[in-house]
Amino acid sequence: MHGEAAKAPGLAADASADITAWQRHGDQDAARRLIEALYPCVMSIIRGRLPRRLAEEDLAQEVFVRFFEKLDQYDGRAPLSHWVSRLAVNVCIDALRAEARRPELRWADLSEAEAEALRATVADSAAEAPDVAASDLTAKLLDTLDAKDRLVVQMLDLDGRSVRDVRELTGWAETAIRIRAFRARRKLRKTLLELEKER
Amino acid sequence: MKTNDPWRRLAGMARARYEPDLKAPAEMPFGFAARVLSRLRKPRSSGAELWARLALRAVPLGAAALVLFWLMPPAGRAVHPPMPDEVEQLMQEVMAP
Repeated sequence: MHGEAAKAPGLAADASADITAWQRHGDQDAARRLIEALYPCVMSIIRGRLPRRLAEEDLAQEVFVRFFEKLDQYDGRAPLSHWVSRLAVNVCIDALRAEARRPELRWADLSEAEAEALRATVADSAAEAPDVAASDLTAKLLDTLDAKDRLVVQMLDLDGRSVRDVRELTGWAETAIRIRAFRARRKLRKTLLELEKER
Repeated sequence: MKTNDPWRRLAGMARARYEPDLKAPAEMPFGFAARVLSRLRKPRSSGAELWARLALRAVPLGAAALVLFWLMPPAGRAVHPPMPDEVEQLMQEVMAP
């Protein structure tokens, strides 16, 4: 398989040489170079997309362990960075599912600042709401979503990525992404309005 | 752009805080690659290996149970006096005057 990968158009020549060196001879330096080259790509997926209690570095390690374990399955049809980002997305989903809290968010769970951000959001006086509180409230709302819904909404609405970008990063169909985003946003709107009613 | 959707408004506000986090350079922590490689060196047990290990651990247990059953007197079986041979009984009845 690595032979095919080495000839693949989606793979930079030096990365291809490093993959071959790792697979054939277990070359540690080649592995280190691969980790170094792919680290920013992995972190761009992991960072900011997980509950704060999960350690970024642990997840990044898990992504790279899976990367080396599954490297012989890489056929080179997609760019290596896309393949790695899909691994990273799957690791994030597994981590979010392992947390599996999805609590029902109540008014009493909000801090004073978050309650103010909620009031400002619903009353459409966004300029008054502090960014930090809005970010904390967003994180709590995202905690109530299913792992895949959460990732889609975060990538589209918080990272400002396009549906096409999300498709490339996750490997999911565009229609599936749009449906997921639609349902997740509807749930988030409903939760926001219910919270405001509870006040 | 003005929106009536409270979620989009909130996301718009939160994005301002998320962006610097996402744009920050992702510097690899010291020793990160070494930690990944050391995890790779530790063999991860696959499903088949786990079953094999479980089966291997069950062997002495199975052997001990077998020996125990072999040594134990058969508790369920009641000890009856041997039944007289039916043929012998018949012969005695026929031959008897």
